[in-house]
Amino acid sequence: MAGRRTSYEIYWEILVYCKTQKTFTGIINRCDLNSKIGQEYIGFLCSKGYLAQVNDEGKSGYIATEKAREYIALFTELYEKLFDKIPGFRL
Amino acid sequence: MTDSTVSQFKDELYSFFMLVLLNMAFGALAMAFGIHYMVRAVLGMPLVQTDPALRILAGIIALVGFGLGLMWISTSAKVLKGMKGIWKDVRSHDGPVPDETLAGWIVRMMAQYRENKTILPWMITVSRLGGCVFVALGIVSLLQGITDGVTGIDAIFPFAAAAINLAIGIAAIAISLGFHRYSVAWDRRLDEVAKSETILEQTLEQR
Repeated sequence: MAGRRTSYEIYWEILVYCKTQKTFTGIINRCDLNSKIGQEYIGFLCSKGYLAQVNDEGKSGYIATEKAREYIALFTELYEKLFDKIPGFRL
Repeated sequence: MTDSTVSQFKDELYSFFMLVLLNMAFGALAMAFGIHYMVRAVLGMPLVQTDPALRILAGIIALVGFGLGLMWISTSAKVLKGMKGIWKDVRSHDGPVPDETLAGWIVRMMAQYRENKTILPWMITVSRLGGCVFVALGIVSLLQGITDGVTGIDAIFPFAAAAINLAIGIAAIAISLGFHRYSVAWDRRLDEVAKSETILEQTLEQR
């Protein structure tokens, strides 16, 4: 997903994408990040316990933890409210 | 998630997409009429009897209209390019929309709005200016029609041109108002997102 996103939007995208195990390359491709920035985001989420590094049959990857659910739910709710609270635009 | 949120999102996306398409169409018309009027004003056809000063004025206004039309199309094309992906995904989605899918679309729209935030005021200004130019051109054509003193079928042309120019001008001004309303709604959403960031930060950092 390209365009200007906030850090919180990128964290949310990574966590939603990693509901099932994903590789580092898969994450940075899906979230449109370069490897340096991707490493920073993934590192942060791992350090806070939202992402876990897993080694499944020799394949290393990342998966969202139970803790990530709260953030995903809160973010989703806040963003959906944007359309409930603010009068819409129509032609 | 409620169905109304999904339908509101789809309505807004559809409205904005149509607005950009209309904007491009009117930009193309502005360019075409700009060229047409420039040639007509310079060669003085078919209004040879018209006051040369009025012809020069029409030529200058037409040149400005042509330039604005060109900028009009290029800025609209940039906005449209960014929206195409979201539009395609939303249209191809069948059945109920899961919360995370909807939030993902909103994030993408938000990212696109941030990307277009500098272009939109420009589009509003260009549409408004373009609209004013065409209204002015319509008035000039109307004056030509009244002052020419041409009889027969030729007498209809300046009035037809005036009607077309006034219609394009009014539509362009209406489009600029549409973009303004879109901008106001999304600016408010950006403000809300900025407020939400404190809550999201606290949630992330508490671990």
